[in-house]
Amino acid sequence: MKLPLALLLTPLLNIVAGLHTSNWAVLVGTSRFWFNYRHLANVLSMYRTVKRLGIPDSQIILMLPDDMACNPRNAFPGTVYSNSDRAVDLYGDNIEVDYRGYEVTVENFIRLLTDQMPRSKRLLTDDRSNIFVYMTGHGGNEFLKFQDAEEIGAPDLADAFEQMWEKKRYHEILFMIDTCQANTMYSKLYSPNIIATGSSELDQSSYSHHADNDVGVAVIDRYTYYNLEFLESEVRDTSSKKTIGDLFDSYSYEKIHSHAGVRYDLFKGGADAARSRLLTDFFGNVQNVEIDGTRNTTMIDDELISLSKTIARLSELAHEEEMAAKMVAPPSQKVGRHRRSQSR
Amino acid sequence: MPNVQSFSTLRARSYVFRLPLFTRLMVLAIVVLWLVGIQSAWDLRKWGALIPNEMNFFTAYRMNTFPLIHLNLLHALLNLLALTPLLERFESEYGTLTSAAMFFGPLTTIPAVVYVILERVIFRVNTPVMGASMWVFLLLSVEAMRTYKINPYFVIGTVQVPTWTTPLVMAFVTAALIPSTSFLGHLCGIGTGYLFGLGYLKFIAPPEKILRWIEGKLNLLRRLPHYVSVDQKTYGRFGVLPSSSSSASALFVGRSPKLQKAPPYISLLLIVVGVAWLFMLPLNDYSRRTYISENALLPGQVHTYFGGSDQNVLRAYRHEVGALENKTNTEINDKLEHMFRSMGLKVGRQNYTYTTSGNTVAGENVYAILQAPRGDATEAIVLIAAWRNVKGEFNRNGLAVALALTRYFKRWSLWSKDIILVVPPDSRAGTQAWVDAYHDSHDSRRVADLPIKSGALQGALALDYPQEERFEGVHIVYDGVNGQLPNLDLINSVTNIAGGQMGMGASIQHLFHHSDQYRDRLACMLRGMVNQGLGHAVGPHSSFIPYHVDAVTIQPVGQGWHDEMGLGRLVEGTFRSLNNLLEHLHQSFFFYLLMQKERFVSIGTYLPSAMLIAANFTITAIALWVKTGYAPEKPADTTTKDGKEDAKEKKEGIDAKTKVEQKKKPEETPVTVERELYLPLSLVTGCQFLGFVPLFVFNHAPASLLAPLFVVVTLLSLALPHALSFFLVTTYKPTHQQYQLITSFFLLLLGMFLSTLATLNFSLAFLVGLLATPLTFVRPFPQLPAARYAYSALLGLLNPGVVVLGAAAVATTSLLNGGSGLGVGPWEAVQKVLEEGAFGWSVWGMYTPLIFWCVWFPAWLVGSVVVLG
Repeated sequence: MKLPLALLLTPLLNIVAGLHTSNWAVLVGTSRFWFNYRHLANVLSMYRTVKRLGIPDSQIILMLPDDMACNPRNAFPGTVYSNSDRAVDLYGDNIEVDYRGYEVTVENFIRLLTDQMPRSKRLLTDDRSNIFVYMTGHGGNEFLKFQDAEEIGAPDLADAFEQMWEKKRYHEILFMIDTCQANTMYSKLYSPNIIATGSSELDQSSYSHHADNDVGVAVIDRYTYYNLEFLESEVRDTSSKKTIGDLFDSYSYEKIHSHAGVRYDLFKGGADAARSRLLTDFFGNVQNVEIDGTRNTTMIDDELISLSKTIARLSELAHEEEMAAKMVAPPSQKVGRHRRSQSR
Repeated sequence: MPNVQSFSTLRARSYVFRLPLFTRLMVLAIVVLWLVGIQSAWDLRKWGALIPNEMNFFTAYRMNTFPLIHLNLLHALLNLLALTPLLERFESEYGTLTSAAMFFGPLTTIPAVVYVILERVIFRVNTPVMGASMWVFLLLSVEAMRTYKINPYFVIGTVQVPTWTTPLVMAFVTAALIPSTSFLGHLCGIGTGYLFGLGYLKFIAPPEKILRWIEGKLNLLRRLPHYVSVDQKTYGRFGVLPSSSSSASALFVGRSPKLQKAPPYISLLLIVVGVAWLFMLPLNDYSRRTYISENALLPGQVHTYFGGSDQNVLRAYRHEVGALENKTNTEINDKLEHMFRSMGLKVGRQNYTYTTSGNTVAGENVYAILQAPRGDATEAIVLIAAWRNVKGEFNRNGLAVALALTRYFKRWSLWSKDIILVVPPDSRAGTQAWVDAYHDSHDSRRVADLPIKSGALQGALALDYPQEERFEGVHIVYDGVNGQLPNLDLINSVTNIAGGQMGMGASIQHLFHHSDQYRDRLACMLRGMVNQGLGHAVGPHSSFIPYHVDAVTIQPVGQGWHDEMGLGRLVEGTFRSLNNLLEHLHQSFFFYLLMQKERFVSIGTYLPSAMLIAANFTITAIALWVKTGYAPEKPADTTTKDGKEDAKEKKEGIDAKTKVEQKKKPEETPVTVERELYLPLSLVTGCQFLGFVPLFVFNHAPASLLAPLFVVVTLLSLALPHALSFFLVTTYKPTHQQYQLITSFFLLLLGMFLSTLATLNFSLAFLVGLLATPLTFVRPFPQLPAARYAYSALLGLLNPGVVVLGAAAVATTSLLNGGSGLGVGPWEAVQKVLEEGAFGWSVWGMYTPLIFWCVWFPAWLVGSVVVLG
C-alpha cells in the first residue's frame, strides 16, 4: 500500500526541486541594414516586454547589430517603432544595448552562452536560472545569418546549449526564433529542459506583419507580433497564470501565415510539464527562494500525508470488519487463500 | 602520339565499326539508360545510383547499375568518350567473356563496396554517385601501372615523376575542373585499378580453361558478332588497327564529299535558327515577368507627400521658368543659380564646347547639390531637368517640377545620399560633359572641371515634360549610349511606383497602348533593339549609363488626369527607393530585352540568336580554309581552272551518289596543296583598312556636306567591287583557291567581330549579322554570268550605304520614331543620321560608326569582289 503512494509523491517532489531562482533573457537580432528594420523592432519589442514583466537590464543581454534610430533614412530620428500607429517608441530613453554593431557575431553569441566572454557583459546564470532566448533575422534550413558575413548553424546552437547544460548554466530554457524556416534551427537541440518554438517550418518563409508607410519599411514580423499581442493582452503583470501552452495554442496559420512549431520532447515531463509552465517563468522575473519546501508544497505534503493516513485507517477498518464477518472460518486458511488470490 | 593530321574519318569509322561486343553493349546500355532517364515519371537515378545509406542486401543491384546511369547528357557523353577506347582495349586484350565477368563482378563491386564503407563508416556522409567515370579511372590506372613497368619515370625539368601517378593527377584535375565529381569515388576506382594492374586481383579473373569450355560449347565465336574470343585476344596495346596509314592523312572535311557539302547548309540552318530564335522570345515560355531583385529598394512602400502647398511653389517656379524661355544660357543660369542659393544649396557651373561636323555645340551647365542632412556625403543621386529635351522642346514643366521637388526634398531629413539637380541647356551634350567631368574623364580643352562634387552617383532620373496639359501615363526611356542599359531593378521600381502607387500607366519604346499580345511584344522588342543597335543617346540619362550610373528618363505622355504633382510624387517615391540602397544596383539584370514594361528576356535566353548568326560566318570560314588545303579529287589545271570548275563540282555530285561503288575501288590519295596566302591576306587586310577612310571622312566633314558626300561614297562603294575585281582578274588572275581563301579570311574576321560585339551590344551584332548573311554564300560564278549579276545586285541592295539611305527613306514615312516620322525629308534624314553618327562618335564615344565602316563595310566589299571574280 505504501509503494504506490511513494510513486505518486515523486513528481510532486520534483516540482519542489524544479523551482528557478533567477530569470535571464538573451535577445538577439542578427541582421543589419535599413530594410531589415523589422528585425530590430522585433528584438526591441521583446526587450520592452521582458522589462515590463520585471527582468532588469542587468539580466537582459540585448544584441543589436544596427542602429535604426540613427540611420539617416529614418524619418523619425532617434526612434524605433514596431507598429505603424507609432504609439510606443521602443528606443525611448531607457535602453541598454549590450552588444551592438559588429560585436554581434556568432563567436560572441556562442561565447556569451557558454561563458567564455571575459571582458564584456556576461550571462551570469546558474543551474537555477531560467533563460529566455529570442533570435530573429534572416535564416534558412538549419542556419541563421549573422550580419551578411556569417551564420550560425543549428548544430552549433545545439552544442552551445549542451555546453551550457554541462556547465550547469541553466535550469530551463525557452528558445524562440522568428526567421524563415525557423523550426529547423531547433531541430538539432539535444540538451534537456528546453522548450523551443519557431515561426515557420522547413521551406516556409516567415512574413512581416505590416509596413509603416512613413518609415517606408516593414516594422514587425507576424510571429513576433502575435506573440506580443498575446503577452500584452493576457500577461499584464507578473501575477498572470497564463501558461506556455496558452501562448502556443494562440498560434494559428491564419494569423502567422506560416506553421509555427513547438518542441517539448527535451523537457522533463514532456509536453504536459512544458505546457503547464507559466509564461512568467520565462518572460517575467518571478524569483523563488530556495528553502526547505515552500508554503504551497508543504501544504500539499500535509494533505497527502493525511490522505494516506486516512486511506490506511480505512483499509485497516475494512480489514477488521472483514475479519469480524468471517469469524466462523479458521483465520489462517482465510488468509492463505487471500494471499493466493492476490498473487494470481 | 596521334596527331590531328593523322585522324581520318575512315579510320574513325572503321574503329567504331570494329568495336568489340562487350564495349558496344556497355555503350548501348549507357545510352539507353540515359534515354530512360529523360522521362520524369520514374526516377531512374534514384533507383540505380550508388547511395551509401541505402545499401543493403536487396539494393545490391545498385553496385552494378551505378556506372551505367548518368546525371545528364554531358556527363554521359564525356564518360562515353573516355570509356570507349579504354574498354575496347581491355576487351580486346582479355576477351569478351572475361570482360563481362570482370565488369559485372569484381571490378565494379570492389570499388563500390570500398566506397560505401568509406562513406558510411569513416566519413559518415551520404554522397550518391553514378556514372562510368569510376571505370574510366580504374582502366586508366591499370594502364598506368603497365606503363610504369616499362617506363617508370617521366622527367619534368630535373624532377622524375613516376608514371603511375598520372591517374591520380587526372583525378585531381577532374575534381578541380568539374564541380560535383566524386573524388572519393574516382579514388576507389584508381585504387582497384592499381591492384589489378599490379596483378593482385588476377585470381578473380575466371580461369581460361572454363572460358574456353564455355566458348566451345556455345560456339560463341560463330554466333555473336564482334565477339573477342579468349584465344583471339591480341595482347593488344599497339594492336592491329583497321586502316593502313596511306589514306590517313586527310582531314575529314577534305575527304568526304558529303561532309564537304555540309557547311553551307549548316550555315543556313544557323541563320534560320538564329532568326527564328529571336521571334520565339516574345512567347510566354521564353520571356519572364520582371521582378524586384534588390531587397533594399522597397518601391512604393512609402507615402509620398509632395502636394498641397507645394503646388503653389510649383506654379511660381513654372512662371519664373517660363519668363526665362528666350533668355541666353548665361542669363538663365544666373537666375537658376540665384534660385538654388535661395534654397540653401551649393551651386556649381560648368562650361563645355564640342565641335562636330563643323558645328560648335557649346553651353553651360548649372547644378546644385543638396547635402544629405544626416548622410555622409559618400553617395549621391541625380535629378536631371534639361532646359531643352532631345527634340529641342522647352522643358518648362520638367524643370519647374524639378525645382519644386528640390525645394521640397530640402525639408526632409531622411536622405542618406546627396541629391544633385543638374540643369544642362540641352539633353545631348550638356549631360555628357557634366557626367564626364564628374568622373574626371573629360578632355579639359573642351569641357571645364566641376567646381564642386559630391559622392559616387548611385542613380539618375531625368524629367522630360515639355507638354502643358495633364498627362495619362509616363513613358520610361532607358536606352544608354552604345546600347548599354540601366539595371533592370531601376526600370522595375519606376514602373512599380507609377503603376502600383500612383495609378499611372507606364510605357516603354513609344508603345503607349500595349496589348501584351505577341505582336506588341515583338514590336516593343524590335524597337528596343533598333535603339540599342543604333547606340545613340535617346535622352539626357543616356550619358550616365556608360559610367555604370543607372539612369532613366521619365516623359509624361497622353492626355489624362495626372498633373505635375503626380510626376513629382513619382520622382519622390523613386528617390525614396534609391535612398534605401545600401550598395550600387547590381542584383538585377544589365543585359535584357524588354518586350513590355513587365516582361523581359535576359541575355542567356537571347544571346544565342546573335551568336548563331555570327557562328554561321565562322563555320563557313573554317570549312573553306580546310577545303583550300587539298586539290580537287581530279586536280584541275589551276591556270585554266575556270572551265573545269563546274565540271568538278558536278563530278562531286556524282561522287556522292556513287559513293558505294567508289568505296570498293582503291582510295585515291588526296593531294595536299600549298595555300597561296599572299594575295588573299593583303586583299582582306587592305579592304579592312579602307574602312577607316569613310569613318574619318564622315566624322570630320562639315554638316552641310554630309548628305552629298554620303551619296557619293555610296555610289563609289557600289562601283568599287567592280573596279577591284577587274584589277584583280587582269593583274593577278586569282585562282579558285585564292578566292576561297579570301572568302575564308573575311568571313573569319566578320564572325569574330560579331560574336565579340554580341556580348557588348547584342542588337547591333544581330542587325549587322543579319544584313551580312548573304556574304556567307559568296563565291565566284565564272560560268554563270546571270547568277553572278543577280548575286552582286543582291549584295548591292545590302550595301551599307544603300541600307542607310533606304532606312532613312523608310524612317521619314514610317513609325520608327514614335509613330510620327521624323518630320523631315529623306535628304535631311540622311544628314541627321550622319550628324548623329559624327556627334555620337566625338561626344558620346559611340562606336556604331566604327562597326559600320570597319566591320560591315569591308566584309561587304570583299564579298562583292569574290562574287564578281
